[in-house]
Order: sequence, then C-alpha cells, then structure tokens
Amino acid sequence: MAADLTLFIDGREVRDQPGKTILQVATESGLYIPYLCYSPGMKPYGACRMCVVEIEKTRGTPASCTTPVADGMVVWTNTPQLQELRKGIVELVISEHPHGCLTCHRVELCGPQDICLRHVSVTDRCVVCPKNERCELKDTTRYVGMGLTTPLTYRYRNLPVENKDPFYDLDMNLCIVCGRCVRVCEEVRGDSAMGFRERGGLSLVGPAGGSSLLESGCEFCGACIDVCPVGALVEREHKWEKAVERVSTTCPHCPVGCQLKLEVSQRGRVIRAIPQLEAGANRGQACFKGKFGLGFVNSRERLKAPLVRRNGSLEEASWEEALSLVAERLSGYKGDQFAAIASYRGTNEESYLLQKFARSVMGTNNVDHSSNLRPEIAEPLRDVLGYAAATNTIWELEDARCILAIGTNTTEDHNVVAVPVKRAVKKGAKLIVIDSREVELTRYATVWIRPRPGTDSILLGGMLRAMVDEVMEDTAFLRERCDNLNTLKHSLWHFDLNRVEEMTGVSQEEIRLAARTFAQNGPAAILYALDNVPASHREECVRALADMALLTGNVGKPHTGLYPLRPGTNDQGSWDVGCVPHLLPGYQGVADPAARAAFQGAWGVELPQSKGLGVREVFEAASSGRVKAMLVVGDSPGFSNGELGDVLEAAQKLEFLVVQDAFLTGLAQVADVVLPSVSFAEKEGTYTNLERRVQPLRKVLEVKSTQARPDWWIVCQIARAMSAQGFDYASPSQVMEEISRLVPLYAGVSYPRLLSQRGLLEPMSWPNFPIPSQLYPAQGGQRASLQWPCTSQESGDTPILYAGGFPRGKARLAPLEVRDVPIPTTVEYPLLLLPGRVLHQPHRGAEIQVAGHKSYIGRDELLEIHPSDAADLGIGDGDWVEVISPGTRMRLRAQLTERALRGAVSATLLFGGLASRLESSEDPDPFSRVPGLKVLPVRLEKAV
Amino acid sequence: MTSRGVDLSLLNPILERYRGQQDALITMLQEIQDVYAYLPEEALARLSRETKVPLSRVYAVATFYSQFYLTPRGRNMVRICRGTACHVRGGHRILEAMERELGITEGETTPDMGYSLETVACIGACALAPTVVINRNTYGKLTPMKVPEILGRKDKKERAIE
Repeated sequence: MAADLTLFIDGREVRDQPGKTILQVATESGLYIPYLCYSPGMKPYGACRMCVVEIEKTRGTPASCTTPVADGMVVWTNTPQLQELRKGIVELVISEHPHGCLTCHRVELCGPQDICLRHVSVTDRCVVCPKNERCELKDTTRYVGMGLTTPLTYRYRNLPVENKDPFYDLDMNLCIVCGRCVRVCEEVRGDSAMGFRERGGLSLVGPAGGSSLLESGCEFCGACIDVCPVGALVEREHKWEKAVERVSTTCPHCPVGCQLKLEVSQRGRVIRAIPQLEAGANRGQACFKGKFGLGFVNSRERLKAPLVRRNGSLEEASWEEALSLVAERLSGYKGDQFAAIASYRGTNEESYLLQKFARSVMGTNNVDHSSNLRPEIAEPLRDVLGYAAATNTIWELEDARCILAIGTNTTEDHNVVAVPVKRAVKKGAKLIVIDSREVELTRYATVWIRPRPGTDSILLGGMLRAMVDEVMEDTAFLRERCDNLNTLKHSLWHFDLNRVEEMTGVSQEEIRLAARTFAQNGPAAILYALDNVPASHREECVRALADMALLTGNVGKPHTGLYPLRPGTNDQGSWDVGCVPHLLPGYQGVADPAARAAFQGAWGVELPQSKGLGVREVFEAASSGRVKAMLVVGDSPGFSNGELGDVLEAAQKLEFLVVQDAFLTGLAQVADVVLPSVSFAEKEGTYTNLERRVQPLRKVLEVKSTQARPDWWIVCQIARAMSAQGFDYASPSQVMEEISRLVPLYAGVSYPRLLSQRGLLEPMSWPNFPIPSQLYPAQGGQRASLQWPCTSQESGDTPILYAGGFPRGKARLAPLEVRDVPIPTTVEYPLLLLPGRVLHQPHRGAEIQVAGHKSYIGRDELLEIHPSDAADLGIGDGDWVEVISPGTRMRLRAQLTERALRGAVSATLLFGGLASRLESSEDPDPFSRVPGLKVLPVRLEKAV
Repeated sequence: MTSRGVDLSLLNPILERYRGQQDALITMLQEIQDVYAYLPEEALARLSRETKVPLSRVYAVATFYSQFYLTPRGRNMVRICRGTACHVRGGHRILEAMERELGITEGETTPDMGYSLETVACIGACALAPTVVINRNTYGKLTPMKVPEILGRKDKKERAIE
C-alpha cells in the first residue's frame, strides 16, 4: 500500500492513506492524542471533545476523531489553548467520578497503585476501583496534568452496584457516560441491549427498563466491558486482580478461533480475556464462552500426575511407569482392535501425531476426532466443489445481501459468526432462517421458515425447484463454471412443490418466497450446522445447499459461499491433517495406493488400507468387542450427552483404555491409565478455524508444579516407548514442518510466519508507568494468520476459495433425491419437542432472583401446543404440563396456539438462563458441555 | 394478551397507523400515553417488537422527555404554572391550595388515581396569571378560593377523558 498523502502532526511528518481520521493516523504512528468517547473499531462519535486539535489554516478546534486527514495538513495536538480546553472537559467529567486516584500527587511515589488506603477519602482509594491503573481516564487526566491543586470536589452518585447479572458488575458511580457500551452493543454487535436513560446531568447507561442485563436481550459477549474506559462495567470474576502479563492466543471453545489476549495474574492465573481487534477471525469480538469461560484453566481439580489402575483403583504413578505400561499393553493390540480418538480441542499438530501414531505404529485406520459427529457436514462439498471447507471468510458476511441460515443455533454455538450476520441485516440484507426451533437469529429474520423436523433437505430441494421453475439461475456462471446442470434439473422433477409442501408442512408460497429472496439478492451466503437433520439426510442437505449456491452463482466471489459450522474447535484442522478414519493427511484416501505410498515413504512403515472406524462407530465396536483397546485424548460433550450412546458402558468393556485429559472426567474414571495433559493455555500449537484460518496457540502460562504435559508430547512419548521411529519432535513447530511437507494445502504454513506480526506494539510494558494504555489497541497492525490453501512459503494465502476456478476445472452439481423422513417419535413419546433459546422475549418479562452468589431467572416458561393436540390430551390453556423425554423432565405452562406445528410442541427459554446456569455450574469446564438444542421425542402429562 | 391489567389491544390502532415508520417513535409514544395516561412497560415492549426499534432505544426516548411517564398517573393531570409572571401574581398560593384540596404534594398522584399534580415553568399565558392547566383546559386569573371550584367543574365536564 502506497501512502498517498503527507501531513504533519506536531511537526512530525506522517504519511498515510486518505479515508482515515487524524486521531487514527496519529495513534497508529505512535503519537498520543487523548480521547474518551472514541474507541478503536467503532465509528467516530465526536461527543467528548477530548481529542480536539488545532489545524493550521482551519478555524476553531475540530475533534480529531471526526476530521478526516488531508494532504498537507499541519496539525498541532498539544498547544496551551488545547490543554486548557481539555482541562475544562476533564474537570466536568471528574466532577462526577471519584478521582483521588487520578489527581493524587503521590501517584508516582506509590508505584503500583495498589497500596493507598489512607491518603484520600474512602470512595477514592486506588484499591476501591476495579479498573485501578487499567482505566483509560487516567491516561487523559494525566496527559492534561490535573493535579490535586485543582480545587475539585465531586458528587458521588451513591448508586448501588448492580450485581444481578451472571458475569458482570455494573457500578454506575464510575460511569462517565461516554456511550461506548451503548454504541458497541448497537453498532458492532447489533443487539442494543444497552441504552442511555434520562438526560442531562442525570444521564446514565444501562439496560432498558429493568435493572438487569439478563432481561434485556444481552448475549453476554462482554463487548461493553472491553470498551468501557472506566470501572463501570467489569467482569465479576477476578474483578480486583491485577495482570502482570498479557499473551495472545486462540480461544479453545469453538471453531471461530477468536484471538484473545489473556491476562495473567501474579499468581499465575488466567484472569481476563480481551478479544483482539487486529485479529482477522474475530475483529475484537468474543462471546460468553471465550470471555467468561476460561476459568477451567485455573481449576484446582486438574490432574497433577499420571494415574494407573492398581487393584481396581486409580493411583498416582510416575511418567516412566505409566508410559512403559501403556507401551507394553498397547503392543498387544496392534491392528484393528485398537482405536484412537483425538480431542475436539486438539491442535493440528496433536491430531496429526495421533493419526500418525494410529496408522504407523498401531497399524490401523481407526482414528477420529471426538467432535466428528456429523462428518457429512462438509464432505459432500469435496465432490461438488473441491474442498471440504467453508469457502469464504467470516467477516465477508457483513456485506452479503442475503444470508440463509439453516439448522444452526449460531448465536450460541458459533457466536461471533452471528455478529456480521446481524450487521448485514442492519445494512438491509435479507436473512432467511430455516429452523423448526426458535433461535436467537429468528428475531432478525426477514423470512423464518419452520419445516417439520428432519425435512430440511426436502425443503431445500423444493426451493431449488422453485428457482428453476421461475428461471432464477445464473446461466452465465453455470455455463462457464459448472457441469451436470441437466442431471440436477432432471432430479428436481421429483420435488413437486405439492409433495414438498405435504412433506415439510411449509406452504408453497413460503417456499417460493424463500427461493426468490435467495436468488434475487446476491451476493448471498449460506450458514449451516445440520442441527436436527437425521443422519440419512445430511449428505442430501449439504448437496442441496452447494447446488443452491452454484445455481445462483454464489461461489468464488466475495460475500458469498457456504459456511459449514462444525461443532469442535479444530474440526477443520483435524480433517486437514487426516485425523479421520478414511483419509490420510491432505484429503488423500487410505485406499489410494499412490497416496499411501507417499506416506509410507515419509513415515517409513507399511500403512493399513481399509477404512477405519470413526467416533460414531467405535464405541459400538467396543461394546461388541471388536475394538479392545483405545487411546482417547480429551473430553467431548458427545461422551456424556448420549449422542454417542452409552460411552461409559462401552468403555468399561474395553480391555485397555488410556485417557489423556486435564480433568478426571467420567471416561477417565473408568480408564486403565490416565495421562495428565495441559490445557490450551499452557501449550503451543495451531488451530485451523472454520474459515480455514491457521492460527497459533501460544504458551500463556508455564506448567507449574504438576506433571501435566502437552498432548503432542504424550503421544510422542508413547510412540517412542513402543520403539517407533519418527516421533522425535522437540516442539510442535517441527511437527508443523512435517505437515507442511506432506500436506500441499499447508505447504506455506510455518511457525515463523504465523508468529510474525505487523505493526503491533506488544506486550505492554506494565512497570513503565505511566504509559498511555490508549495507544495500544489503536495500532493498525494485523495479527498473522494464514488461510489455506497456502501453497508455498513465499505465496500468500487464500481468503476466498474457487475465486480463480475449481480444482477440477468445473464444479459438479449434484443430483438430489427425495428421501423418506424417519419418524423419530415413538408410541411412548408421540410428540416432538422443539427447544429454542432467545435473548429476549419482549412480551414476557423475566425476574431475576438471587440466591447466594448466584442469580437465576424466575419465570414460568411456556410450552406452545397446537389446540387439537392439546384437546387430545385434555390440556387446557394455562395448565401446568410435564414434558417427559427419555431421561429428562421439565415443568412448563401450556399455551395453546395455532402457530405451533401439529405433532410438535415448542418451548423457548431465555438465553440468559443458559448464561446464569453456566455460571452456577460446579463443572470445572462447563462451557464444553453447553446443552445443545436437540429436537427430542417427548410425551406430555398434565401436572397436578 | 393482557398482563397486569394492561389491555394491549388498545395499541393496535396506533401501531397500525404508523406501521413501518420507525421515525414516528415520539408520536407513537405520545399516543400510547394518551391511551393509558402513562407508558406501561408491556406496551413499550410490544411497540419495540412491532416497530423493530430496540427496547433500549424506546426506553432512552421515553426517559429523555419529561412529558413521558413510566409509572401510572392519575386520570386527570393538573399542571400549575410557576413561571415568573404567575409567581408574581401568587402562583405559589394556588399550588398550596391545590395541594390542600387534593391532599397530595407536587409530583404525586392521589391514591384513587384521580389526579396527578405537577408544576410547569411557563405555559405562555402570562396575561392570565396565575394559571392552571387541567388536562387540556387552561384556567386563568385564579385565586386560592377558585381552586375547589375549577376542580369541581372539571369533574363534571371532563370525566370522559381516560
């Protein structure tokens, strides 16, 4: 990028591009202009006037946050006149903000700002502000040079601290009403949970009406905390703790791969997570999981030493003992009686090593990752398009004109993906939500279609048929870039709209409307997670979606494409490095002799050629005795929620089970050997997120006083104990070197490239006080990450797939067929429960109740029932009913409505309820077990 | 749907009239207040849902203007002018008389929800000072003796207003 204008700030020559404001250019070049209402990443607001500057040949003192730079501009940021103006502003601001800590003359003598107890009045003391020395107001105040000589008293508002919300404390006594939280919530997140209230001197910010964010539509993303310049909005957990170090790493909770700066306290704990503005994946956003769900790292329940079963109980052992036992026992189970399962939080390197171990040492293809519960989610994309991955980047969604979200609870499962979706809607894009459940995105939907559960693929076929009928296809695109159009069109004749209407319960009008909305509003993108699609329909569903994107010409262009939203953190990476039963690294089939020969050459051993067992079959095989020994890395929600059957029972049938985990989970308790692994924060590695972005995990904490080790190290040690060659890695970076040699998609990926960064001033030099903390987030640098295919060390990465053509020349449209929908209900459980979670139900208030330290929502939840179903069961409007599914029971109040589908009942719970339940959970890592919204067969009983 | 005795069906004509006009928020709030005499929380929630204006924005506007009330008010609104002209002509005595007559002080509502009393800075009818506005009727050149009388008049004539 060439700089095409030059300006002078305080006599210094600065070159930059047009389109930026003076404040941006100044902070990016390391010149400090104080500001309060502006926050990097948000639109300029121009309210506080702290950032006023003088520009030669311009009248007055314009705000630098709203003034665009121009060529030849001469800007002065620190003249006596400006300082006088700023002083006046600061005086007004701190006339209602306790300011002992800002104006105290001892501030430099005291040093760390955490010892003052008596120099100033109680509400002023350094130690009573949760943002002590993290506050941005101190930057501006000290810059202006406000001393105790300023004859100021302030009015303390005397408002109670709001602490009803699960994760936040709101102390409105400290608020300076800069409006950053209100704007970030509306402008950036699209939620508008916060607003201003009252006016003039009484103005404050807060949630609408009620006093708690739980009832306001808040999704607990923490964005308002991140932008709050003072201590008004803070995380409750570790509120008073001070960070001594900040390290950037990747969030381990979902495949969005948010880049977070983790703050570490003096006692070596992770105390806060701040999303990174410069990160391509999340652009300064995070969600309730990343922001508040990393406490498991600090848990005391973490395993400290290897455990070995002796006389029926697990006892601590040394690494040598445990490893030699594992090596000795596993040697007896070579071949297909062994299976390995990688963690859903496993790094690329760990997944790669585990599959290498299973294939080259154990001689079996029985290897998979534990979150691979829906392998069909991306696999058909390989046949149709070429790569089994999302085609575009997350933030391109922001400028799509139409977004189709089908079977995905995005706001909860892949929260940050929902942010650009909501912003697109705000810009006028159409949002089509196809889901029988009411999820948070339905609130923003232009069209919300509720098909009968499981009929999604038929509905999509109907939409394609409607597109073809009304000649809405992109003929030029199809002619140049696609094959098989006629086969597809031919297959669509089976999707007679009358039949589709009958099977899905969606009217033809709605199907046509959805088809038109999608086809006529390009560029259009598709998000899907296949929630509640029966296994036999998933491939059809994905093919139909790929066909739809191709038919309308929405592939290979900006703001278009398909986004398979997988559940596990590193599912994409695990697929890429071959941690699946039928593919070697780089998507090469295990049965392909040429591919096998290449890996046999690289690894120096004979490789098995028959397809192995995946995570969905392996526990059944364990029950039936086909698999006798297993190595399981990490825990998975699937192990305990019944999705994989009774895993514990199957595990007990195994002759030998090794578990690598940080906690003594249910599965670990029945293992023969438990090897303690470290958490994501204590190891290095890379994750590949859902947009194919390879991002580094960094070591945030040192492993202290425990014998826990990274999973990659453990697998290597087991292999070496079994005298295997090729497991002598000194670090994950060497594993990545091997991956990049063997996997062409990763050929250009290397640690030096991933760890390089442009224009970031980091880490903060904490002891060097007072450094304006405001300078740091504003740096316009970019964190390095690479989106595969990245074919050589010199070449760039590929944000948009297929922009220059398909790997096979042309895309192959897939023909579709109408499949019968299996009926999940039984005689015992005749109805389907469609659970939903929304942020806010405007006509139904929630009451927050506090019990001890926890808060929960006291609200009668409603169950919508179709009147004729209710009549059959003798249930009247407002009756209490028990909803019974295999294993669970819920008590809800019945509401009869024609809106409900016949044969199905729906319940919508507040999303905030999920948040408060997570907070009160006793589980060391509750965020990995967030209950999903699964359609369940149920029966109803009238409660007495 | 009714909750806490607020009949939300009364909102329908207002929402219908301004459908699709998010910028008519203040007008809608005024009309809703004409219906209920204040802005019930449930009505604001419904307004937010139908107009797609975020509830936090509705709330921000409703709290910004002093003309909007979020708590129930009396069926009749008594506003006593405390502008300079009225003050000079004994407006404070009118206020005292009104407070005595209604048994409430400024800013309060009678327990039977009949009357709410508030003061305003100037109604622009200084020639008539001291003045009182009851609902939409203005009474001028008052003396404390006339206060019970105008309240009685109002009772008969203006009961119709909700």
